Amino acid sequence: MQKRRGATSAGAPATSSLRSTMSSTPLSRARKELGDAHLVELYRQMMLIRRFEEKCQEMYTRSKIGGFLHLYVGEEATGVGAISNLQPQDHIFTHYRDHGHAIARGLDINALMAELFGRDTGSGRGLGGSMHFADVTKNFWGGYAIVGSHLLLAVGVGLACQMQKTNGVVMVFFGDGATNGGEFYEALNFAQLWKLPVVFVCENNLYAMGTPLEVHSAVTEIYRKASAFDMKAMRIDGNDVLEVREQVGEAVDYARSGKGPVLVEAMTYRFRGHSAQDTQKYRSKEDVEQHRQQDPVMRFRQSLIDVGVQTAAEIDALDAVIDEQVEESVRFADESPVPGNEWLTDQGIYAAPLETPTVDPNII
Amino acid sequence: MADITMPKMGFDMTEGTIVRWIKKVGDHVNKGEAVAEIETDKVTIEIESFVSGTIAEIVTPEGSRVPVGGVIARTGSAGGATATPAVAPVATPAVAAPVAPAAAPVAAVAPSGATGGAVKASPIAKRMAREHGLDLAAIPGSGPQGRVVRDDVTAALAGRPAQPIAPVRAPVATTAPAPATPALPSAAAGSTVVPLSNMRRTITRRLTQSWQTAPHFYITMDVDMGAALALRKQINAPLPKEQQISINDMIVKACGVALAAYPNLNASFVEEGIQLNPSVNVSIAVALDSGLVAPVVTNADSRSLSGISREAKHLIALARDGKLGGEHLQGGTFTVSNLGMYGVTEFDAIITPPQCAILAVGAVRRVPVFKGDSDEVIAANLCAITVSADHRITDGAEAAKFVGEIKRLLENPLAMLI
Amino acid sequence: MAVMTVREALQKALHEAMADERTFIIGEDIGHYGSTYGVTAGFLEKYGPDRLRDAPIAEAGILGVAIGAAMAGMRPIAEIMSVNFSLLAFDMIINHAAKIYSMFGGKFSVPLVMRTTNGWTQLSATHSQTFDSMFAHIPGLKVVAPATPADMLGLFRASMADPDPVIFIEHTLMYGIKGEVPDGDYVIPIGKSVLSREGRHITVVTYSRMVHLAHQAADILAQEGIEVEIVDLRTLRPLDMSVALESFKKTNRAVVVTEDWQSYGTSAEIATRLYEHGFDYLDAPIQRVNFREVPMPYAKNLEQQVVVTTERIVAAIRKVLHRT
Repeated sequence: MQKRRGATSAGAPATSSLRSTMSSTPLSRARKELGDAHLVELYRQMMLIRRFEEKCQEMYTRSKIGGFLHLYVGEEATGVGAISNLQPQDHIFTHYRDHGHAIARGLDINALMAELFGRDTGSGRGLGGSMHFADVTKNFWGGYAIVGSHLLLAVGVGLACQMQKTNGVVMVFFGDGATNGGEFYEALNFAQLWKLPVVFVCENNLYAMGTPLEVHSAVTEIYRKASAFDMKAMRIDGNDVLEVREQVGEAVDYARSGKGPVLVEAMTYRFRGHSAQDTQKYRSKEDVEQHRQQDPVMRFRQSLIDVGVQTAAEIDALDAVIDEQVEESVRFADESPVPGNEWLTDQGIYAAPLETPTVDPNII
Repeated sequence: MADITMPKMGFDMTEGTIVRWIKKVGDHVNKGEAVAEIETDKVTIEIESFVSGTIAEIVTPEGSRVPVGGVIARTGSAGGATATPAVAPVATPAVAAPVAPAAAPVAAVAPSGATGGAVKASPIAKRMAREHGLDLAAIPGSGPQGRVVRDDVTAALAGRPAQPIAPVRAPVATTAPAPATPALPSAAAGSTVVPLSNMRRTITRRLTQSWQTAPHFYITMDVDMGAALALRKQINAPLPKEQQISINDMIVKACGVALAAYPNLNASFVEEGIQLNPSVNVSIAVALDSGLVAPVVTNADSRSLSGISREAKHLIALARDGKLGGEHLQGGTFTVSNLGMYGVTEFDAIITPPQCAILAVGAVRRVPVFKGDSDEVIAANLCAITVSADHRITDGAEAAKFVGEIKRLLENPLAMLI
Repeated sequence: MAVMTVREALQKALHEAMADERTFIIGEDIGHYGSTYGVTAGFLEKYGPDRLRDAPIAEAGILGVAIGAAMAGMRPIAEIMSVNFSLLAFDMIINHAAKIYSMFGGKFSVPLVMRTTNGWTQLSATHSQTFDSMFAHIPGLKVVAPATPADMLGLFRASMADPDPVIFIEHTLMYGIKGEVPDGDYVIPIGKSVLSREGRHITVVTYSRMVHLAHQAADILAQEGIEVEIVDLRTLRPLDMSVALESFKKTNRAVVVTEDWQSYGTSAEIATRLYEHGFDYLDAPIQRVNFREVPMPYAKNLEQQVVVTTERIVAAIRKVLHRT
């Protein structure tokens, strides 16, 4: 069991300087270990998520996107840093706030925007929507919208990895609010009981929807919940992409080595409401503004310029490319056809439809 | 005494329906003589008696279905009643019972005037009575609270009391449930599938799309065609046959003029909204042996009646010769479908996408009507026209006004010529 | 042809399934304990703890893990010891197993077989229920409930070969029932009902253990000359009513027998379909025989009045035929 670590803890006020918490020492080390191109790629992914999410908000208000819309703005460093440790044979499960993880795993944003628009070219043919992005070719098994339930599916894939000896690791994301239901404890028990290669990444953004951490959980240091299962656990600064990458990297290595699962608690913060219609009565504007001062994307951007990984002009040019890609995703989605009515028949419900229809063709 | 049974008239015949009894009770029949006409799945055929004698009893009434081997009649001394129960007709009455009146089903099952009250009867008893023209009130019911049930009707048809379930011969052997047997053959066995022609495929695709996406509603009006018929007669009198105008031409013209006045009916539903089409192009549905085509009379609002007539004749000729090109079939903004020549009174058509509406025209029929507000009955030539319209584009009141305008034009046809 | 019990047929089916390296069985007390109903007795010794996985008592976990493994290429069999315990796994079954194929646009499926068992014998309120209609209500699931050893084997083969989640419902009072099982590797397709007994006076539509009770009732009534036709649905979703309707159009009368509560139960669906598609053939109101609508009492005298018995089926048939 590791001691609590990381710069941000629940309820602690965020500092207001963009530069102060990102010391140049880890960045310099990361330059040596990863190379500049890799650092720029981490930034590119975070900024792509940021811009994609902002565009989603716009499209939602223009009624191009329906249903719920849960944005990942503010939490980019956790998803990007954690997923950067995964190999192609590894697997990802996530929750309904799934856009960021999908983009970090390299899913085509055209297919993602088309999914949000309910189009046939969407990642799920327009059947799932915002909460259910998936791409089986990338072992990205999808976003799941019943809080906590997908942890068990992730454990099941972990079991498959172990039995099939694929050397794969499963990474599963969930929020602090998911750690109070029974499925969380069942998942931890199964995973530790059978020493399955699963990395549980709790994105602790301090709120279960709109209920503050200290109101919903008897133990507010989520990583300590692993102690009941003698499971390795850690608490990290989820807003520092390099720390996330390094610490989760250790967890992934540990899981891959066959020693068993790890629970990572990444402290982070979402800048926007739980979903598009959240009035955010549970927190003050000042709180949100304070955290925005520590914006993980803008902070990392500034650091890259400060230490000379990129010039300001180079980063601006990269940003412009990202903007154009996001615009293109909207064009693509807009021009895509809607899914056909075959989804309303057995063909859309069963991988192997049967001669006896379950959907009454004569329904009025 | 000998039985006449349902013969097997083909290797796969399992049952047959008595269409008509040629012989009646008391008639003499010679061996080899036809006694009845039966219908199988495939054919209608006369069946012959294998015995000579007098028809003593007709067990199976006309319209009933009997399994192969079932007794349908008995020969013997006329009037010699039999105590042996015959094989009852299987439950399913025939699809086409010759004696069934064509009256509306509800009227047919209504109780007889004598009792006035509702007769309690099971659905199948009601249906059988309806198909055989029986009065349910006259049939004693053996079901709960005197409900007339299937067996009561069967008995009434056979002229005998309902047969209770007979005492058993021997207990049925106790066996475990039948083990897994393969499922019964599907109903499709033995049927043939005709591959779709390209035209059939197009009709299937487009009309299915229309039916599934365009919410249809219907407005029907009777048009008094007296003035139109008179005018047509007047116009056609000096013309050779190939130049004569048809009622359909007048209807197309009326539609063209009405569409110009009601642009929503001439519109198309597109994703961005309602597209008002700049010209009025009326498609005319032409039936072919192979299906259906709808060539387009362009600018039907501004063409003269004779111009429409010429164009329509040209297009119909091309259609019959299979020479229509894409240019003849594109750009329609409204369709007229006329089944009057088939004696159809009125019908509802499916909208041709992306059009907003289609007009279904029935036959001109001569019917007695009251003259104006008076009680005087006169003959009128009425034609029912029904517009099917896309509710995404237009609503009932507007469509009603549109149909009313067509009616007005056809009832005042001179207005169209000016 | 060999005569075997339902239990033996299931054992044969499970051994066959285990020939596939991708298959493992996960459930409570299936290994070290020796299996509650003896179906997997000896499996732990033969296949080892990796492929015969004794699970914690955590039904959501058992289903969740099996669903995940199925998505990732395994062909798991999840055993829920009693259908009463499946309630703890309903989120996994309904929100996940049934939804994943469609919700993600048909890109992957959940080839999972969940075995579970109905049944009662003085187990009182929470251990004597059946939830057939709750499973069969859900688009995305396939639900089978065979009655005979032969159908158990044939439908289990079909279930294991199916790429979709199959709920395989057994019955604790049926494991000892014997029947003939054909040789060879025949398969009974999911979604095909069967005529279990021929008769011309009335149709009994039923499935699972009630098929056997219906036969007993038919034997009793045969002595009075009443010939009962019995249709075994075998699969509840998709529901094949073709055989039942064909029979109903012949007999014009039906009794629907299901071992669950009547309100909103499987018999409601079955009877409704007979009415919808056979209205013009109806000669008497359809009668249903089901559990009485109370939580199952422990006391034997009360329990006997709640469950479906041969006598109740006989009485229902007499009522429909208007014979006292």
